[in-house]
Amino acid sequence: MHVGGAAGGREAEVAAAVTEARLLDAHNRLSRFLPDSELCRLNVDPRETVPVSPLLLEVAASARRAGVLSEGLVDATLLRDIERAGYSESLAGRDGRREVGAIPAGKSPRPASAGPYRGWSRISVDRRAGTVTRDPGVEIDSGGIAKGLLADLAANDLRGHADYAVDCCGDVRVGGTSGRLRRVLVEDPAGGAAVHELALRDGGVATSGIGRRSWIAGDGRPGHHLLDPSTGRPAFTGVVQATALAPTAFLAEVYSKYALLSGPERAGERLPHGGVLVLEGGGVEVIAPSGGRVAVPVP
Amino acid sequence: MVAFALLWGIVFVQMVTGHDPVLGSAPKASAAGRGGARPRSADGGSDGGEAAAAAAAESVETTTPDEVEPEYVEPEPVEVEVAEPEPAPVITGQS
Repeated sequence: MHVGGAAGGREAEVAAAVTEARLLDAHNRLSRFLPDSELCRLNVDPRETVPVSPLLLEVAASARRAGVLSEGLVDATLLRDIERAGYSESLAGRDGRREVGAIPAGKSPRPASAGPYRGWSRISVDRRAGTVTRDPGVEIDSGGIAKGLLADLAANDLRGHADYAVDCCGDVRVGGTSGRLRRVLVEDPAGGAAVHELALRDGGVATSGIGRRSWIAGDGRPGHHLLDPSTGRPAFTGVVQATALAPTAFLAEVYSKYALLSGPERAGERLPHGGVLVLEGGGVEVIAPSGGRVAVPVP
Repeated sequence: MVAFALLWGIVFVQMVTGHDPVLGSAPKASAAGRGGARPRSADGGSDGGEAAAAAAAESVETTTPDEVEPEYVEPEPVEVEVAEPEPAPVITGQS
């Protein structure tokens, strides 16, 4: 996390430390790998309507919103499917590209599509009562939506500082009163030099891809964490990484997944504020906010 | 004899009233020495010693100690505009 301010380094350091502590606390409450987390307790709660903290309320509302924004492609209720696909324990600190040996690829890439159940549409929140209501069996996976949301919440705490950048595992929110541009380097999914450089004054940028969180499943096939809601299995669409710009990090996170799951032909349409695509085979395309696409040479 | 006495009387009066041509030239020379060159009067410099001295006094430039050593004024601190380094770049990548 970067925080800068005209008042000097001390104030910025304190603000960064406080925000980091809050992010760590939020992680502990929203992790699906910690049985005592508030999210896990909600998922096993037999009641249809459950009182929750304001943070979990936001996550539940965001799960529904992500589904609406992505026409059902970004579905945060595929918890059982992702566990069946092989992602049942935390992969923190592991890089699937080393274990798989390369970016996983499917035999016949095709765009993902919405699932039949659309669990995200069966979640509702009552902000006044502070409750979440969902159909029996609907479980929320915070993995695909919470990082951007938390980056935005942290940014709200830091908005009075001259410059700040909140990086929640690659989902970034930048801003500050100075209005200065900050460079954002788009990581190469193959581990090389940055494939592109963006510049942002205030807003979010997020990257989704099928490389880092990947594994070899029990059947010997490569797997990763971005599922096709229609099959419940890892999606191979021909896009291996999508980076999205957006006014907030949450929106950027949703748009980046939406673009990747849509496949190369429609990915550009899913990036209304611009972004960068890395395709199977290594091609890189920069998407302008106007919708124009420019192929850039791979460094 | 009478004419001589009248003439002497006039000279005497002139001397008594201070219009001594010899004595009258001294202040004029002094003023010129201290005040530097001074424009001659329109009547060819035949004005009296008092007027010359007064004029000389006006033309003398006096210098006060304050002017020789002006009061020391503490210089106001000048804010030097230091170019701030650009914000550190961040990396977006797969989590």
